[in-house]
Amino acid sequence: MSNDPVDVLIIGAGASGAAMAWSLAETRMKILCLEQGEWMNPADYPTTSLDWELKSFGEFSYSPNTRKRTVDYPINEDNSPIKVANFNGVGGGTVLYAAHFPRFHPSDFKVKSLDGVADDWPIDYQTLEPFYAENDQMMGVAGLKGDPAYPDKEVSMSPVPLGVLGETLARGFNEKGWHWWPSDSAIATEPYDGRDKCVNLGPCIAGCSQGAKASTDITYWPHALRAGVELRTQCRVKEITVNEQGMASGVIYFDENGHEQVQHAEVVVVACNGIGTPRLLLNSTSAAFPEGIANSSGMVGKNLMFHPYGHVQGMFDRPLKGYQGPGGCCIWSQEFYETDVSRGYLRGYTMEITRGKGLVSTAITGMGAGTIPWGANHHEAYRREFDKSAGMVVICEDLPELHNTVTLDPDLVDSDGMPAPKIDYTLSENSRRMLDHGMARGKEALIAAGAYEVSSHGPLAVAGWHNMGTARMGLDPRTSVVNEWGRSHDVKNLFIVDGSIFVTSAGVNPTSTIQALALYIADAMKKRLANLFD
Amino acid sequence: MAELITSDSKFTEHQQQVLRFIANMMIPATESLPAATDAVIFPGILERFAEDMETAEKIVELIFAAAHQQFDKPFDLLDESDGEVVINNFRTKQPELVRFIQVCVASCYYKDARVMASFGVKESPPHPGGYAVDATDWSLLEPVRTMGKIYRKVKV
Repeated sequence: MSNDPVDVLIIGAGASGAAMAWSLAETRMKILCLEQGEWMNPADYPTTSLDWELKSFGEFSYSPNTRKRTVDYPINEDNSPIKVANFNGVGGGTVLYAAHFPRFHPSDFKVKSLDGVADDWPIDYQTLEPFYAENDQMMGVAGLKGDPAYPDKEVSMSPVPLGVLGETLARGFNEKGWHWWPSDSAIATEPYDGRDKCVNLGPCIAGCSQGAKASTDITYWPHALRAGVELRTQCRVKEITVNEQGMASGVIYFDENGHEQVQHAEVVVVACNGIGTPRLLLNSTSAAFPEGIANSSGMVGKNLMFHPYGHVQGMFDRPLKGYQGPGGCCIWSQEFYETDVSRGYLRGYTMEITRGKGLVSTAITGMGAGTIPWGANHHEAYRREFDKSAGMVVICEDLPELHNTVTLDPDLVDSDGMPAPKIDYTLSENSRRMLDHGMARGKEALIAAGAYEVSSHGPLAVAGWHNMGTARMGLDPRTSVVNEWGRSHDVKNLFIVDGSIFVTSAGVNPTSTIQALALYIADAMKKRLANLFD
Repeated sequence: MAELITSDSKFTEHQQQVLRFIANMMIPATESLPAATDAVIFPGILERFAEDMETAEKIVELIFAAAHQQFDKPFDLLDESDGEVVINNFRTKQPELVRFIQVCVASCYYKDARVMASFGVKESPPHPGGYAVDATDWSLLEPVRTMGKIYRKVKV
């Protein structure tokens, strides 16, 4: 390992960093990626063990505050009803995501013009469309053409099977006369680009031992590495440094032994997502940038958006085989996606069917909820619940608000002594109303599908999977951090390519859009190589 | 599950007695299913508790103290019904610790081969075998296909 200067330094090897590295590799520039986590071994994922459910609650929890791996950083989320979910390692959040892979809709980019709320994006669906398609090819997306909730698009593979549970819920939506469609899923349903096909293990969100789920450690990274990109793991970037001209000069990082290293670069790309990116920018202070690099607008860390999630569950009188099949990917409904002001809120949500729980989870959640008692009646109640519940999550569009923030905690630090992020977040009235509407409609769908008992709760606490908006994109340097192609307004060789640059959140999972944005920004950089800093 | 004998446990006999009482109170035996205190299952539960000795010992100490406070006796000298009163009070007052107990007990009980088999679940990890899911009847989508496009067109 040498710290010779590089042309492009990418910070973070997750969804966006991997896509950026692969796309830029064709330029033959010297590209280095620093990742604070490690390479994962799929054989270590929980589903290879009989204790798979317990492992997924603990060492493979999607909460960094529960997981507490050395490579994780703690997050002060006391002032937020929604807690952050992430993963630090090669592949980033894609290691533990459900692999739901919806695109944004055309309307999602123009919410100000259409609904008078938040801001329009400086780009539109058509701008990203070719990069969505390119990303779908790289990740491998299973789905079905013809979804009426979207413009036409291609799919790579046949959809994931619905199983008894999915077909039961689909009949419920049909009974209501509502839209549903098999989910676009970044899951190989047939051998794809060196990956084996899905064998319906269940808990995709604990890591895919089969290698069928498209995490970027097994999609983009093998291609990027073969093309000459260097990836250094267990390297936690402490700060982005600047030179006398106010340009980024590189970074200081902690190596695997905790020793500080200096790495110089011509271009710095930040890909740490909606919490990690503002944390790093705010930690990168200098005489030129006393409030954090790229923060002349004061927008770094502001406008944090989660997707408030509601959970709806129904009990059925027959087995649904719900623990078989990709846990988070089955069918979705976008019946209530687009704005209808008569509903009492603006914008909309997706209903995503989730599959059933395993033996241990059924017991723990049932005893926690009081539906499975201790004692003589335990077994009968358990038998009534196991494999007889079906549910869905309602994923609501969150709108940007200045008071929802990521700042630096004055006391909490990570294992290298670097200040940790602090989250302050409140649910808006619009989100609350949308959540209530969605959970009520979800109950109706489950009853129509045959559920004899339904329940709901929201917002879900540890459901902050999607962290967006904290270094927003825009045309005006006074109100945004990066321009319409991801370059910092303040520092012309600094780029941001992750979910932090989202202007709004849409009502769908963001990974597909995060990666399409990264590919789009990489393309913009390649087209401007001769005058990239003008 | 490893073949553990309770004498290998890190817990004292008194501590084991309390944890055994709780486990049996939570999941007793039926004619067809073992109790959580089954000779094969319970050593694993003790091992699970021992992964967080601090919390496990705190639980036992609180229960010992409650027995003295409520009945002026050591817990192991209480009859079964008085023991259940102590544990039920504890359940009301210590929900976080009760959750820990439930995770320890359920995570071992529901991976026992006999229990898994009784629910028709294969007695092995999900990987590598996985599950075969029947092919989907896509004619279910016909009503949706006839809807026509429902996304909002944008002209701005």
